[in-house]
Formats: sequence, structure tokens, C-alpha cells
Amino acid sequence: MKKLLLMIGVISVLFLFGCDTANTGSSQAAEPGKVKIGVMLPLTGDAASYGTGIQRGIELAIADAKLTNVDVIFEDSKCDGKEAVTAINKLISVDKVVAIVGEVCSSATLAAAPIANQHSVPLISPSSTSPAITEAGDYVYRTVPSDALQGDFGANLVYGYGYEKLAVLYSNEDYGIGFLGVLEEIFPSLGGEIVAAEAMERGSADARAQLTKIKEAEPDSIYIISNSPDSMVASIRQIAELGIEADLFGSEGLKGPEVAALDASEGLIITSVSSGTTEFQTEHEARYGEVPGPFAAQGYDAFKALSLAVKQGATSGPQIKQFLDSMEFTGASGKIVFDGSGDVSGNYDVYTVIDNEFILEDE
Amino acid sequence: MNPYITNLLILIAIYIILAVSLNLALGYTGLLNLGHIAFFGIGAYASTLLTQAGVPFIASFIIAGAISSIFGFLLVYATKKLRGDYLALATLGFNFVIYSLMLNWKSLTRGAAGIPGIVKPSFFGFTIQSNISYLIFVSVICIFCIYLMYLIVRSPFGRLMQATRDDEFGLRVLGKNTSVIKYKVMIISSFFAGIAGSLFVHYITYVQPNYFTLTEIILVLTIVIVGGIASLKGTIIGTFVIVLVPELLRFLPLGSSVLGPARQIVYALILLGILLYRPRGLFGRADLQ
Repeated sequence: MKKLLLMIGVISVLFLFGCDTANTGSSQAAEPGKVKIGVMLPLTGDAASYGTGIQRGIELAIADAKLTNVDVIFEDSKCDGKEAVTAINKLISVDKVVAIVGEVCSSATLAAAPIANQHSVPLISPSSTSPAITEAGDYVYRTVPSDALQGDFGANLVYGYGYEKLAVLYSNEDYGIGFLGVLEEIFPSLGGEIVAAEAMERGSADARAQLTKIKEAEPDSIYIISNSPDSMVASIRQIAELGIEADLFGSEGLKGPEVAALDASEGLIITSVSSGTTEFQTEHEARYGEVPGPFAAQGYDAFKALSLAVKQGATSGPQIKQFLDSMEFTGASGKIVFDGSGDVSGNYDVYTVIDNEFILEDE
Repeated sequence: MNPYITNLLILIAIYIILAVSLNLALGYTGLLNLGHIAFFGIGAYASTLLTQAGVPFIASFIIAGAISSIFGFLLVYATKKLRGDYLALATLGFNFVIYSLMLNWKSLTRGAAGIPGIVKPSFFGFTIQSNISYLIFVSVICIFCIYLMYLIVRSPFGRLMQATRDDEFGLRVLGKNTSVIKYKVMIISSFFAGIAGSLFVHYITYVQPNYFTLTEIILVLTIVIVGGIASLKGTIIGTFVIVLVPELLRFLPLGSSVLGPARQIVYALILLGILLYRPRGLFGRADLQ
């Protein structure tokens, strides 16, 4: 028993010591007038590809902001509620950040939101699109429009093209379910009908069972909602294999080279949150040699919003919140104005696949 | 106290209950149960749904454990003919079944969208709001649970559990009914996992099926294996090590572009180091067949 207590003691002391040195280290660095901003993203795990893409957008924003009095601290929160809670607690109470960019996944943002509200630290998500975030509290913002808006936009788009019998193949996660909910509400109200809605698991590469049901419902159009490359490629290929004669629509997750490369994707129309202005895309390619990943532009804007507030002299969470509430600027993803619940209105692009390339449609 | 440290201690207390209860089945009784996270999840959802239906917290908390126990019983019933690797696979399968239920039984669990706004525990007109009081609350429960499990493993029944692990056939020859022992152990083990689940969601205040996936099973298994099979002390220290080492790595000065993967590499090296140096874990006292 003595040994046990000793071990626990040693570990706790080591740990407290670790925190302490980190504390003193950073408090020495924190000169008067210095402001710290935290960033928490999934840098490892399933959603790491989104996290690292967004991180690049944020780093571009840091470089552009040219702030001398700001320290930025990155944390890995793994797109997981528990990790996000730990990361935000660490950022707020150990690093003493005054505002945070994050998280990527809606579920992690929702888990972190109560802590941001409790400590009055603004939390700006670049990519959490769940409609539930609107209600997540006064200190929770996002630079990406809610799925409620994309669903609305998508439903109008499909109906506008003259389709009336829509089938939906959606990814069984909060993103897909939220999006579907809006389609189911809006599309019938326009005069159309949702003839089938089938779920597929994220990452699953077989949608034949679902598509067979969809085929029986005889839709004239199919909306695919997914963020998983494997699932989208498989489902588009299987739609062709099963000979379903319906035109395809898709959410922004489908905008990737894998989908464009498929012959079966010809004519696919997707709605997408803005992938950035031309200047942003050029800057990104110049620095990283690649086109921006999904939500990189929104990450840029999330940091830009905070840096604008800091430039105007905000040094605490509530002050930054005040600036955010009255802020209006043109960022990498378009015009950013936060409404009363911290949401932005939607700027969506429409792309069509022609000859294995996504072609942006004009208004 | 610093909220960051409070948060970690709360998570550690919850994971101690979870990991020690897994060690009862896995370490002491030799049941290769990879479905433990399912019980954690069942407890979490049961407690969430009950408190939302207006049942007082204390009652939901106990019922959450009881419901997990029922599933523990059912799992042993379904897998009673299996042992070793086959049992491991079947229990892993059980985990996927429960995960799938949470994901697809939308009218009950709201599926992948999860349930936000879970209430903080309250009893006798007193609500636990601050994290400090939550820490005190979970610590008391954690110590009580450890004490109970300590009594169990030290009792004659505890010896029977270990005998089941070491020589099941021999024990049967002595006239002991080993399947009854397995039922009892799983009922106890899943009860504690269930109440750990309840403590977890009432702390995070948000629940979704993704909390109960393969990654979490690996985490809890790692705790038990690094701490040592069939050692309560080992599991407790293992929890501290497994939860705190990644946190300490947060303080390593790493460039933001390599930060995520670099931490994971260091973490993996530490774990490998522990297991190379002590193949039975820190305080392991037995080997699994």
C-alpha cells in the first residue's frame, strides 16, 4: 500500500510539476499586452485530414494578420468529446487563452461549448455544421453555415431543376442526419416528394442494399450526403452498376478528385460551402503546393475574426465577443457577419462534373 | 484548483472504475471480454434517458448499473460455450451490436446526433454544478467502488474467480460450478461499468454513440494491460499513467505541424518501453492463456 501511495504521489507531483513549469514558462513569455489564442483541431485520428487542412488555413491567417502581440497555441482534440473537453480546459486554464478556434466535428464542439460559455471564452468553429450548434450558447460562433441552410439551398436547387421525386442516400452521423432532416422539411413544402431516405455507415463501401430500395422507389434524382471518400465513390459506382436512372446531387463532401475521376459521376451536381476566394486559393497553393482542403477558408476566417478583434484592442473573452457581435468583414470564404446566435449566413457554390472535372456554375 | 487538473482527475476517477471492473472479468477471472465499453455505453444512455424522463439522479445512476448488469448476464448466456479467442471475438461483436443499436434506434437515442444538455447530478435538493464538487463526488464513488471490488477479490469468491482463470477444469473436478462464477463476475463487472458510464455522461453533459467505439475499448484494455493483469493497484496506477502521459506530452515544445503525430509516437514509445521492461505490466501477477 505504501508503494502504491508513493507511486501515485510521484506521478501526481511529476504531473503538477509539468504543469507548473509550463505555467511559469508561458507566464514569463506573456508580456503585458500579449494575448493568447488557442486552436483545437483533430490532428490525429479519423478526422485528421480535415484538421490538418484547416490548420493550414489558420496558419495562413496567422501569417497575414501580422500580429506581434499574439501567441497561438495548437491542441489536438481528435474530433472526440472527451478529448475536446480536456483540450479546452487545458487551453483556458493552463494557457489562459482568451479565444479559441475549434473544434472541427460538431459533436466535439457541442461537448466543449458549455466550458467556453462558463469561462466566457469565445469558441469559433470553422466546420461544425450541425444545426444544434446554433443553440450552443452565447460564446459559440462558427464561420461555416449551418446544415439547415445547405439543406434548404440543396432542396431549392433540386426542385429548381425540375425534379420532383427525390431519394436521399445519407451518411449515418450527425452531419447526414441533420442535412436529411432539413431536406425532408423543405423539399415537400416546395411541392416535391422524398420517395426514399436510406442511411449508410460512414466509411462503408457497400450501398447495394440501400440503393436497391432506392431503385424500387423510382426517384428521378438522388441526393448523396457523405463526407467519407470510400462511401461516396462506392455509392456512385453502385448507382451506375444497378442501372438506376436518376440524376445525382451531392453535398460538399463529394467535391474530391476521387469522385471526379469516376465516369459515373458525369453530370453530378454538388452544393458546397465556399472553398475560398481566388486570392486565398492562390496564396494557399503558393505556400503549400496544393489546393485548399475542405473548410480551410473557413478556418482562415475564424482566425481572421479573432485577429481583427485583437487588433482593435480586445484583450479578454467578453471584449472579443463584443467585437465579434458587431463585426463585418470579407474573408476567404465570403462575407462574414455573425447573427445573434453566432451563425453566418450561407455562401454556397454549385459545381457540375463535366469531363471528370468540377466546373463552378455561375449564379 | 486548476480546472484543467480537476477535469483530468474526474476522468481518471471514472476510468479507474471502468478499468478496475474490466480487470475483474479479464484479469481475475480470465474472461477475455472485449465488450466492456458496451456496458459503459449502456449505462451512459440509460442514465441519460432516465434523468430526461424525470427519474431522480440517484435512482437513474443505480438503474443504469442494473441495466448494464442485465446485459452482462445476457452476454455470458449468449457466449457460455465460448472461451479464449472465440469469446474475445464474440464480445467484440456484442460491442458492435450495441453501438449499432445506439446509432440506429433513433427514436430512443437520437442516433448519431447525440443527446446534448444532460443534467448535472442532483440529490436531496442539492445540485453538483462546479467541477470541484463533481470531483469530490466521483472520488467518493470511485473509492467506494474500489473498496467493494477489493473486498470481492479478497473474499473466498475472489479465489474462485482466480482459480477459474488458472484451471477451470480443475475447479470443476472439485465440484465448483464455474459457469455460475462467470455469471456473477460479469454481472458485477458490468454493473460498475454501467455506473461509470452514468458518471461520465453527467460530467460531459453530451452523449453520442461515437464515445463507445473500438478506440475506447483499446484505451481501457491498454490501462488494464499496462497496469497489470489481476492487480487492482496496477489498474489504478495504469489509469494515471495512460491518462496523464498524453497530457504531459501536451507540454512538449513541438512545432504545430508535427504536434499531433509526434505526441502519438512518443506515447507509443513509452507504452512499448513499459511492456518491454515489464511484460506483465507494471504490477501484473498472472498471465492469460
